[in-house]
Amino acid sequence: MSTRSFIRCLFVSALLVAAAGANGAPLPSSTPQPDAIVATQLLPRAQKDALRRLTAVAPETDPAQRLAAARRMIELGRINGDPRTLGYAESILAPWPAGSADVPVDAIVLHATIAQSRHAFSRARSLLDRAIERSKPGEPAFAQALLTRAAIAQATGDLAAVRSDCQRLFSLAREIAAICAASVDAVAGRLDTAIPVLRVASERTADSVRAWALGALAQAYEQRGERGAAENAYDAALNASDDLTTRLAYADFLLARGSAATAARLLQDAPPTDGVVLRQWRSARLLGHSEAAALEARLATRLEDARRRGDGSDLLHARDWAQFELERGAVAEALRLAQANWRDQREPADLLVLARAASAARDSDARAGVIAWMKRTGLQDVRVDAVLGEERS
Amino acid sequence: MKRFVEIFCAFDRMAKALLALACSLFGGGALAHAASTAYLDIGMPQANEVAVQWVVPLRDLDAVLDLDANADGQLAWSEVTARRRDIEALMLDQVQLSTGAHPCMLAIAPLRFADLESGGYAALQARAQCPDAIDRVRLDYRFLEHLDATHRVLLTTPGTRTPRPLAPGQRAQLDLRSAPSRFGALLGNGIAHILGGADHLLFLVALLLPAVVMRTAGRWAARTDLNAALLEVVWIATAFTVAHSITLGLASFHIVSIPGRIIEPLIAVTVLLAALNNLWPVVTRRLAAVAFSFGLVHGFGFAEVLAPLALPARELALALFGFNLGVEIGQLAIITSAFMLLVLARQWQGYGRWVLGAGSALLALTAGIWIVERVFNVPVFALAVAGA
Repeated sequence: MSTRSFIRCLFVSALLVAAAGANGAPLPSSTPQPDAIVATQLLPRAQKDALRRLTAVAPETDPAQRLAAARRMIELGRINGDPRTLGYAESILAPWPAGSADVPVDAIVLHATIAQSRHAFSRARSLLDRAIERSKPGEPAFAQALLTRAAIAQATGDLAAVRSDCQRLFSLAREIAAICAASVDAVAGRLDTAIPVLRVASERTADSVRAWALGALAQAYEQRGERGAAENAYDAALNASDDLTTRLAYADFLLARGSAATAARLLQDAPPTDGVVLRQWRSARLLGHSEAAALEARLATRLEDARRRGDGSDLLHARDWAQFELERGAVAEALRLAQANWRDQREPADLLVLARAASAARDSDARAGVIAWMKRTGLQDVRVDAVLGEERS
Repeated sequence: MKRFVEIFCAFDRMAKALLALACSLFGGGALAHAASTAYLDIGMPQANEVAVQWVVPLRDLDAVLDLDANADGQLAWSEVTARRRDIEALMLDQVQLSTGAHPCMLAIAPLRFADLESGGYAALQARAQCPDAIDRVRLDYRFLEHLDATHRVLLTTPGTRTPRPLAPGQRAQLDLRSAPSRFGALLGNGIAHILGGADHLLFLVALLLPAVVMRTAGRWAARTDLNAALLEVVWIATAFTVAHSITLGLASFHIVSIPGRIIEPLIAVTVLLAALNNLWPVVTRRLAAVAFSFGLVHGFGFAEVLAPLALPARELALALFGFNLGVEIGQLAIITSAFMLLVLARQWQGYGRWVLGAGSALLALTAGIWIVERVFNVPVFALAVAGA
């Protein structure tokens, strides 16, 4: 290439760049066909009406209806995994701010439930303490508050508190109290006691009670490494009562075992929550499917958006995000998220992710923390042992 | 534990109504979608006009306006457009810009659709005409106020590098004059990208290593004519610059787009080839041509930095210029310092073997590892470091 022709080439290139600049960028928006479906999982019309009406009318209008509508919103959120229903519920409860003195005790419990759903555990706990104080054992709010407080204690690994709340439930519902006690035993080194109790409880109960006992049983079997028994328990749990949380736990189990195709089928028609998409991505990757890249991009965008909101949304499901970063090879970020998650949530699945991240990052302090927790609680879990053992060898 | 709450609902008949709520408790936190998030982009003002784009979840618009005419739980685009007047009225009412004491008038373009990762969105593009010149503008954002306090709008203005979250009912005083600071940010971004992006850096080094020597009779010898050496370097740098500017432009304006998973390994391949060429010379003259063709590949890599910003066309041109200028400044710094070092080193007898030879071998090895990493998506370096 002569100097002259090189200069000519430069000139043409410069023109090209200029032309490109004048061309304009297409915006990331479009005009779909009229019959194209552009949004799904809308709020049912009855709830839309209730939301608009109850946030517009005078605060004193029909307290019972207000409580029922708020409750229904929270339930909906659990079905479709959409946290905005919690915001709607909160708006419906606006006439009764959680902090003020003359709030109906039922409203306090609802506020606590919203806080619990957002993993604002300490706020939820203090609201529940107040609700328990203000209600009598015969009242619905009492049992409700006790139960919710026990649920939080279990999630946060405060095993003594779960035991004490379980005991107080004993006089109200014996079967429940037994399952509750067994689920604490299962994470406190007494798998051999917990498993028979859960098995018997699952045989004596039906529907959602049975599903609960079976779900806890499946987890216990997983901790002991009895995969066949765990699979049967998961299957039976879903048969008793289909539930997204059980499906996700089952999918994790299947993915860990390498049954990616089964996991994908399990989540086929699930609402596309972060947790569901994460597991769809993991199975697509294991199966070598091409949509893995798109799913990964989708998750990365969602995580970035959650971060940008600046309200800690990204830490709400830090266990899942830690797993995501871990599998993407972002080991340090995975450990950061797993540790952030561990500050709030201390169930075996949380410990497992922490152990994996600590091991991948070769962080001996984090690893020591995992071992210390197992020593302190007596937790037995062959999955965690395997992660720790791998690193030793 | 959530289970346990559910069961309780089933058990306690006297308390059914309230206890049923317990069923709604979230379990291990794996359930949620992203919370409601909208996006508001405010462009660069021109006199008293400014472009505004509000991208808002259709699910939220439906909650407020009940767009789902046939109540089937999903929205067809026709159901959305049938209510475009109401949607526009809602934007006029709840996304208000004002200068001084006076509100700006919004002229809203026909409704469009944005398919984002967290669901379907309505994209409302508008031109705001304000009574005064828009240096400072006040934003009143009231969408979902009293309905969902967890809603956030992510606000982007010409001066901001990362979007700023705003809650319903919040006001923000926006300084739109800070466009230069955005330009500065992108300039810095460009410098940081080339200095921090080892692949671009090593590619330049690989091309520069042989520039100060001459190949005579199959051996490398120090160039005596430094002007010629400098000219060679200038040619190389210019060719690389022009080439990556072209592809950066093409990719940023979405004229040509090549996915990162193809480009990233290709960039590593360019480093590998440039390094191998020093060891077993195939191209010994017109290295500028090599720099040009390989520079085309690197430009697509640069574009990946700008792409996530999704800037509107007018700003994109400026951003592109700022970013590219940054890249050139960084590049000039590298070339100048590398050239000076090489000029000093070239007299050394071992230059051919140790600097050029061993250096290029090391570059080739690094590039090879990158290729494996980028093709198979495995962190070889990280593993090697962790294993050490």
